[in-house]
Amino acid sequence: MIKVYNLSVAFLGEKKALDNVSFKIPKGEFVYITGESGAGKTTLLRLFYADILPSRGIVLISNKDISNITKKSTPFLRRNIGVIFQDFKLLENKTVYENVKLALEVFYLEKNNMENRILPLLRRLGIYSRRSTLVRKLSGGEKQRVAIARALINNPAIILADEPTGNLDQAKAEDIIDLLYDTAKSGTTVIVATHDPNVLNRYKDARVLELKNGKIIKDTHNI
Amino acid sequence: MTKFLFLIKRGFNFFSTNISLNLASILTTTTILFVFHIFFTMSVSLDSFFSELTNIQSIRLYLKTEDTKKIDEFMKKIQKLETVKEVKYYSPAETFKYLRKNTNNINYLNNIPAEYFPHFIEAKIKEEYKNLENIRELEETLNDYDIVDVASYGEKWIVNFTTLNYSMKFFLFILTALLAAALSTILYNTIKINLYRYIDEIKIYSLVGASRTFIILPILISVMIESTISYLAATGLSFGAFYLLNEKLLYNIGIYLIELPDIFMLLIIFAVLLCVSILAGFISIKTFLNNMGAINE
Repeated sequence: MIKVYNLSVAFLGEKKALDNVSFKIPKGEFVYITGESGAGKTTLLRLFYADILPSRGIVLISNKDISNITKKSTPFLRRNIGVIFQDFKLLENKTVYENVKLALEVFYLEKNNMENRILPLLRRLGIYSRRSTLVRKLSGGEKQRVAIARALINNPAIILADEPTGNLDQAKAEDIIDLLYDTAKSGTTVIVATHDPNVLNRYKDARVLELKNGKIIKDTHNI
Repeated sequence: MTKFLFLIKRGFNFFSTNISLNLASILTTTTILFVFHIFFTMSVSLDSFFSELTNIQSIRLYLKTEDTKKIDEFMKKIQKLETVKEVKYYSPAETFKYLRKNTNNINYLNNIPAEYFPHFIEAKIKEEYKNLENIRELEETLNDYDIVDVASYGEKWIVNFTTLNYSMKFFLFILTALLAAALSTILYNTIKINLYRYIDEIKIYSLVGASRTFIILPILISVMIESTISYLAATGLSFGAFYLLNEKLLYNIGIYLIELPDIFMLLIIFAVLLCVSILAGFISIKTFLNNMGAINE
């Protein structure tokens, strides 16, 4: 599903954010990417959704090389990837329903079709009763569920979660990780970047990729 | 087609949700277009007026002799010229009669004895030869006859009016360019402001896989709606103003100067306006998206 060969990323005037990294992630795997702040976790995730391009190396997603992806092809890649952020990246002045709908609009779906997909997902994530509430009125846990709903709504092949529990208390954090873990069970590849030990210990069988100074220093499932 | 309709609908939504900001822009663009309409209509009217003035119908031949026999023979000669349609002789008495008929204040004419009026031949020019080059050639030919004192068609005035007409067209061209630049700047800035309000939404759309067309087209449609509303308002206002000016003032004093542009001309102006709007909008969105670092697509 995801193959990374000799990947390096260097930002102008800074040391390498990623340094000669190689690994493979098969379809449906639940993977933690961990490491200290500045280890390269977020950079790695940004590469997967083509927010940045590598300085060197190859990134294959579903056997498609995205190392030199064109501006025209980027949206098509992103439609297969759901991204969840620590700061949620939701539109505060829109309702829960509208925020999730946003991700379906790019597929030019009709209103009824969108409704038929959004409402069951909101029910599944326990935020159906909040569907008409403005996001700014939600709690942190609810906001993160909306962000997850937006990431899941297109049934993407890959979910990328960048510190998804960073703003949440322990119970809510575990709840979110459980949701993502369940999603992986249904065949979606889930990559969670986190440095929270409680989150890492939640699923002992999950693969852990540990980064330090842009290099992989530990891979629990070294393939 | 469904995708296109979807994006058109989004364009209308984008326009209506930003109506308060767009209203200020509509008012400004309407004012610009109104000013343009006024100058354009004046220009079209004056162009038509000057064209009428510079349309040479005939050449007048002032003669050295009053010998009617010689004059008759000369008239027969020039009647045979290819460019001449018909010739007519005006005696001093006929000139006097003609002037009395066509002059408002005849008091001063009555004080002048009839014999002081000139006698002349009027040579009417055939339609296909009514261009300046042929007329100048005819003038030279006629001046070569001994009997002719002066052959004249008022060249000085025609040149003056033509220059005036060209100057006016040049002025309109400069004015159009300036107003188009002003219009583009207003639309460019309005779109930029709208886009800054939607920067988070655009970033998220980009993250979930929105293509550039998905982001750009609705905004361009919104710009086109704005331009259309402004154009219709400006056209309506200027037509109303000129209609009142004609009906209530100018026609009453016998001036039929104002000529409103026809539908074909209005459609051309509208098409040009849409092109300018789309171009300004496109550049505004493109530069905005390119400067928006978060969208690295």
